[in-house]
Amino acid sequence: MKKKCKWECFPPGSISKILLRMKLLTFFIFVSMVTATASSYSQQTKFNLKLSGVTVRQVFQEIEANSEFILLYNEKQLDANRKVNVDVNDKTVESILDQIFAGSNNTFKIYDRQIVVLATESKDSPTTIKSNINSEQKKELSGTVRDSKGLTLPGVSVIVKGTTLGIVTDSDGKFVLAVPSDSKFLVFSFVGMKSQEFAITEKTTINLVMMDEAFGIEEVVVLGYGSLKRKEVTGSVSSVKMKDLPQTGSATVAQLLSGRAAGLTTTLASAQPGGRVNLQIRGTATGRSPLIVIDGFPVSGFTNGTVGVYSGGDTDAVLSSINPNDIETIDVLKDASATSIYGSKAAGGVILITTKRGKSGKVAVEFNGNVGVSQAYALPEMMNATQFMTEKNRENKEKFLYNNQIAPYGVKKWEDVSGYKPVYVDSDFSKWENNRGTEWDKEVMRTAMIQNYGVNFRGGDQSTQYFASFGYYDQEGIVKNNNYKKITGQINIDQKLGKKVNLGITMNLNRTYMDNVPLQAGYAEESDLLRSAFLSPPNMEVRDANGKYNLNPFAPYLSNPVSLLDIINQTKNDRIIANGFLTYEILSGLQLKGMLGTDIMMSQGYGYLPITTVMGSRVNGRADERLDDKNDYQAQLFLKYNKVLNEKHVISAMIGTEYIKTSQHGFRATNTDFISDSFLWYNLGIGAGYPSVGSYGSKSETIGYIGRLNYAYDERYFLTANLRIDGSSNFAQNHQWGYFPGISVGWDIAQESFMKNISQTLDQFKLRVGYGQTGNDNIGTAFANYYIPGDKTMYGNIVNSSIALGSLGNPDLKWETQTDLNAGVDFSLFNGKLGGSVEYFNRVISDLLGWKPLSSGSEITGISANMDSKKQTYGYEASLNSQNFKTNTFTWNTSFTFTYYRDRWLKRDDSWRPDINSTEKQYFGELWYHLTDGIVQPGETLSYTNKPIPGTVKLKDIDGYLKDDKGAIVLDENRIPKRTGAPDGKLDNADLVKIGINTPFSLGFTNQFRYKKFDLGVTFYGMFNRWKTNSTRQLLTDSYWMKDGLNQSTEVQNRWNSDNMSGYLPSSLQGQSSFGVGNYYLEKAWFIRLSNIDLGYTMSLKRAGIRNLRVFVAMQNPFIITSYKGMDPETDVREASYPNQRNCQIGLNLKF
Amino acid sequence: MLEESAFFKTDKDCETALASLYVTMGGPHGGWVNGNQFGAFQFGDLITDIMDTNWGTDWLYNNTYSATRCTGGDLGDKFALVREITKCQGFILRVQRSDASQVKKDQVIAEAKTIRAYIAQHLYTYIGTIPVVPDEFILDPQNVKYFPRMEKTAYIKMIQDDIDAALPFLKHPKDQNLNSESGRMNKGIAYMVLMKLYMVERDWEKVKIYGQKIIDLNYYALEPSYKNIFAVANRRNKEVIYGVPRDAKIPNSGNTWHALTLPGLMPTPVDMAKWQGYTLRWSFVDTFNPADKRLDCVSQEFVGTDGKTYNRHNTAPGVFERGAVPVKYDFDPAHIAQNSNHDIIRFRYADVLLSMAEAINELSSPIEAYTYFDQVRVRTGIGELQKGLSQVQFRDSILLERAHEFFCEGSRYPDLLRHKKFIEVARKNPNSAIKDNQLLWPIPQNYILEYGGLLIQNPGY
Repeated sequence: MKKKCKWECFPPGSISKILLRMKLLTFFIFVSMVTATASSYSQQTKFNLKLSGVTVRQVFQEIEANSEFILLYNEKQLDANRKVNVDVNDKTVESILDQIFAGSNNTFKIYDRQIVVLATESKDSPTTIKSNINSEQKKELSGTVRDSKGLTLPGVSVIVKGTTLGIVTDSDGKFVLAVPSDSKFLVFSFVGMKSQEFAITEKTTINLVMMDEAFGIEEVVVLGYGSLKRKEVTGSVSSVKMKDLPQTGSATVAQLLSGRAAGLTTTLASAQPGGRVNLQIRGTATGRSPLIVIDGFPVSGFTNGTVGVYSGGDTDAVLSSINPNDIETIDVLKDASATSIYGSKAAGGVILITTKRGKSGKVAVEFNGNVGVSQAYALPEMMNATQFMTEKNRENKEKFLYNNQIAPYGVKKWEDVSGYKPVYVDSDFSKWENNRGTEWDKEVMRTAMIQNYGVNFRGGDQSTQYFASFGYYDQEGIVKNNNYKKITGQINIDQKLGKKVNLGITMNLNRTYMDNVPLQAGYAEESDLLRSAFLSPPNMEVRDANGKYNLNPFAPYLSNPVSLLDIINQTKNDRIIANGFLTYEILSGLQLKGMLGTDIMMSQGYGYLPITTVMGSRVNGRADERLDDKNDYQAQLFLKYNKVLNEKHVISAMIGTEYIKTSQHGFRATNTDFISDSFLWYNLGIGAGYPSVGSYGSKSETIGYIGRLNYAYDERYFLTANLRIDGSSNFAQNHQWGYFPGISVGWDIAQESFMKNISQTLDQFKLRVGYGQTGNDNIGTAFANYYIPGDKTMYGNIVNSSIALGSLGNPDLKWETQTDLNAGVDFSLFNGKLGGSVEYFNRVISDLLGWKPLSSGSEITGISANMDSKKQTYGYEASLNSQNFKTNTFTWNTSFTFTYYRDRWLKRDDSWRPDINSTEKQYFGELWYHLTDGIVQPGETLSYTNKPIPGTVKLKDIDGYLKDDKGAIVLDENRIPKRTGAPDGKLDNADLVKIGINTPFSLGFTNQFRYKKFDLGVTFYGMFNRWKTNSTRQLLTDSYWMKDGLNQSTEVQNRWNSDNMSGYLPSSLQGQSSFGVGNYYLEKAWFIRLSNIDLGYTMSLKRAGIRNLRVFVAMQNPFIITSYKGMDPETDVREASYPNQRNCQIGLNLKF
Repeated sequence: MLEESAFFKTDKDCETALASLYVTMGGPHGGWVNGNQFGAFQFGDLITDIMDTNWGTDWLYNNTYSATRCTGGDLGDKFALVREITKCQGFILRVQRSDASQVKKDQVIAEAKTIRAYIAQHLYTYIGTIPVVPDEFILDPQNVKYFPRMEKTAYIKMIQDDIDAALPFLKHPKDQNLNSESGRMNKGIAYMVLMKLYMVERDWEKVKIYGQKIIDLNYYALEPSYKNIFAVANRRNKEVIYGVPRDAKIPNSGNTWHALTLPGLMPTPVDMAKWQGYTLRWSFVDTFNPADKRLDCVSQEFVGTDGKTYNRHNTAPGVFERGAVPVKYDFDPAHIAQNSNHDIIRFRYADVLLSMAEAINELSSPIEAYTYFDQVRVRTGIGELQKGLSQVQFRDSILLERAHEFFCEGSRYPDLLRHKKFIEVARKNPNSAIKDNQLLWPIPQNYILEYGGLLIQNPGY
């Protein structure tokens, strides 16, 4: 490693030096925190040096050349050309430096092999706190602060207006404060409540009621590397306060966010316990998921490790580690004027999660507990044994008619052909008389239980504040053996050290256990549990007389669903997100902040596939084990400056740097052929099969520089400017650095003098406009062409490795740029009783990093490239908060969110290969389908086939590809194939019709009622303009598959059959048709879901030592209104998806 | 990862890179060319009157395939093989400029050319000529260029030239070590590629020349027992000209024939995956002389694992319902799950003899052709072919004999095309929707679009 490192002046583009520098910086912060320097190297290394008339720089070079020391200095702070003399004999480096810095303005610190040269600290004391109170003129005020329910409020800050003098109320809401006798006002403020000014009179006892702020323009919004008051925010930020969310247990935070933040679209990817939620901010054109930042730590993606033939479904591994009850707020940064501070990682928006921190005052202890049951709903009604045998016989006969060309499929008559034999005869039917048969869905599902307990306490004094929490969450899945358990811990400590130094620790500890059952989308023998359960024949017992699992006689390669419950498969995740920070107030308003953090994730998967399953018996048992391990480290160093000038100019500025290092590794091992099922995965070596092992690993480092300026004038004009500079090693030197600026301005018209006359009504009317850029570097590599190992091949008995050209380097690769324009209005009326914001945004993504297709006939069929194309997302968002009604006994608050967006192409690259339906500015999510035109009836002729099969879906031949006389397709000037304009006797893409644009808009609607001691919360959310293929219905009515003895839903009795030619479902011969079913199973899938309703009763039990007791009952997902006919329009992500559930819970919340 | 500048220098590099071309021929899942799901292995029988499946691909033998349907998925997208031809060319160009020894260069280039010729011949059979990227554009794929389908004569010359250039450097099969070199290109395979090419062309003179070259290698011989050709214990016997090596232990490198074919109820000596997919149509089974020993490879009855006897009169779904069970490959005691250790046999000597018989019959008369024909009959137990047949009768006998000899080996489709009987035979399936001009397979629509009007679709689609 080269040792030429300067403290400040590094040329951009020199990644390795930067990284070295960052490591040193990290190191520097670290030592400054622990203040321990065990520099034995510096003590052991001795120099003999005699130099005269040389520069300081030459001395440094001499030291570096003769030792392992590295000298770091800022050329602005050190005159490196100053001439000095050095004369040491067998002395440490310290002696040399003492000599050369004697009498200079520099000093130095030694950290092992690194020597940092610093400017001597200014002797000017920065302790210039304004409030020099004459102690003789004090007056003592005391009082109690309560909320609108009359409950005392701890943690309210009470400040003498215009000073920094103040205190925080204790756990009983009480305060005592000595104020200068000339003080005029006290300012009471509390997050989520409206700040109040209280005029000081002669009275020394003050009792104050704080009002909830329906729309809190005073509340603090976390912006990433800092925060602002809501009224000063000029970018696009939605905030969710956790105290507004239902207190009932939900496995992950993400599940609580539906409909809560305008601009954030959530869709539940799986209804299983711990199921993943797709989060998406402002459309899909960006192609990135939101960056999630937990207490300042940007967490990166991770997946839960599952092993074996079957995977455990789709679970969340990113947000699941946080206990929802530990969260204070969630802030969603949406436009680039806000997100650009996160630079290259922020293209998909940013979700900032802030956990609760301690408050000074008496310790406040809280206990939560709730238990509940959950049950699936809207399960398809499957046929019973008799119905199944009847329909199987009909299916079988229909196939016989078709194969033998008997009418209506041919000219032959029934009497002409012999050999028909029904599958089931009377004796089979009598066996199942009065017996529904096996109800497989019930065999594998259950009514499940949910338990959730948590305890936390927060407290502290003026110098130490803490929050600590422990949570236990245990959810049974509605599918048997599917369990999810989570243990969470949160410890947040803030410590003041004197007047200038603050320290803090934030620690989130988490363990998740999952019992997995086969839930992935699998087919045939790898069918997942629910698919198997729906499709297994009802006229089959679970086990035979010997206790062995029965197999479907028509498809014995399919597993018995109940046998799949014998699989033991677990995942265990451990995670620690920890960071420590230190702030140092250099001067009044000038603060240095350093933070070090780590996110340690480890996921272990184990599984055993027993021989009672079909897949297990083939390999005589299979055991798997897997470990995935990911460690992120982060260091931040910031300098922040806040200043108020002339009481009108509020300036805050910040510069800083952030370094992130990520490493991951994992391995997996599998063996088969076990002498007994009892070893599980505990003795992989004993398997007599062919063990297989694999491993992977990677490391990466990134560095970014951050700057931000906030300026507010007279609470009327606001400005925020960000700049982030990120380096990426994915690009060649001249393209490495990405610059991501963001600027936004706001104007609160309500504060203008000409609005004075309505200022009693209008608290705020802020217009704001923002512009910003974020980037994306997440693709390919700029460097040379690579050869990569390919599959193995065999010569004789020898296995040979192969290597082939893997990818082409593209030295021209550069950052993809995402440019956002955002315009909005924030308003607040009637003292915050009605507030909200409306926004419009326009996002353009250019220099798209993508996979540019090359010729399919060339060695490499694509290359990572910046496409000369553009994507656009535009849309509107609105949120509204209203206090509809308020008396002493009854309040009713409503909040409402609305999200609308459209994604489309703006420009296409030269490599674009349009099809006949393509358009230059095509929308994402366009639905192109063949139109169904009923069912083919006997004798009917169709243009596109000379053998239409009666009973199959009839589709519309509408158009065709225009061809020249040689048979080549004809393209228009945009390279789009031309149409014939008339049916052409072929069913192809020219016949597709646009049904709609499947880009839903979403709504959230929340109501909170309070009557005396009762409270009621009702939360709705919904999505509109949405379509979905009802794939479960398709699976369960595709009677073609009855040939394999697969059961179907009772609806299948209404199919077209030669004995029921008015049937509306496609016949059992649909599988013989090669033209598909067009839009037959596509359904409109708008919905409104009552996602949560909870009713609570709160009482004070002071005598029992309980400050506050709330008991509640809650229901999650009690009903859904939708046009969709499947189980659930949101969670039906594929056929036989994990059914969504209704939960019913009771619980209590105790506050001490 | 290896940077371009660091690789392709030594003899060993050339060998490792060559292996990637063999992955195409017989890597995991049998590779693209030999893949035994919809690869050449039995695909040529699946779309004709020989085979049928229990799976939901009825449209395949109802001949309702369209240009949009034939992309990836079910069919494995044959047109994607165009790229494999380019890869062979790229490999050759890189070898030429590497620092490898001339001996190594000659050897690996010869094998690469044979692979290229093999793939080109395979595509020609199913799709016709394809666009081939000229050498000067191979190493600069970023300069995206499209070329039209080659002219037929040039295309055939390209294949011929490749084999001609390769032959001097290819090994004689007797010089190949069966344990470490079996499956690599050799003179036998090279001649076979040309013989097959000229069979498609009905260029009987050339068929005879290359058939004779294979005979003159003096290495190949017929196995005395038909069943034994395919026995796992008799792997790499002298009848096999090209077999793709398989190993059940190596992931995705076993032979999955049994898994794809056997009914779940069929008893087997070891537990194995049985997906009951492929069957042999009863109508085809009935064309055999019942004494034909080749029927030993066709299961028409068994006592199922449930104790019941199943046959064509007592069927169960997936069991004899659509046809008999072809069991050419015997049961492998070392079978694991869906994998057995049988090499996938692609070319065998019996094909050379029957091709010689066909060529001679076409060139002159059946008289000299009988000797070739009857050699194949020796082990069948049904005696020699009836003497005194006319040229037409002999021709028909060969078509039938080839069906009986090569069922489930993918020979039927090219045979029917060559005999101009494909449409007629397809129409015997009453549900077939085939059109008169649908002789070759369609080029998937996405390529038609990609080539922007330069790539002309086969007739009928």
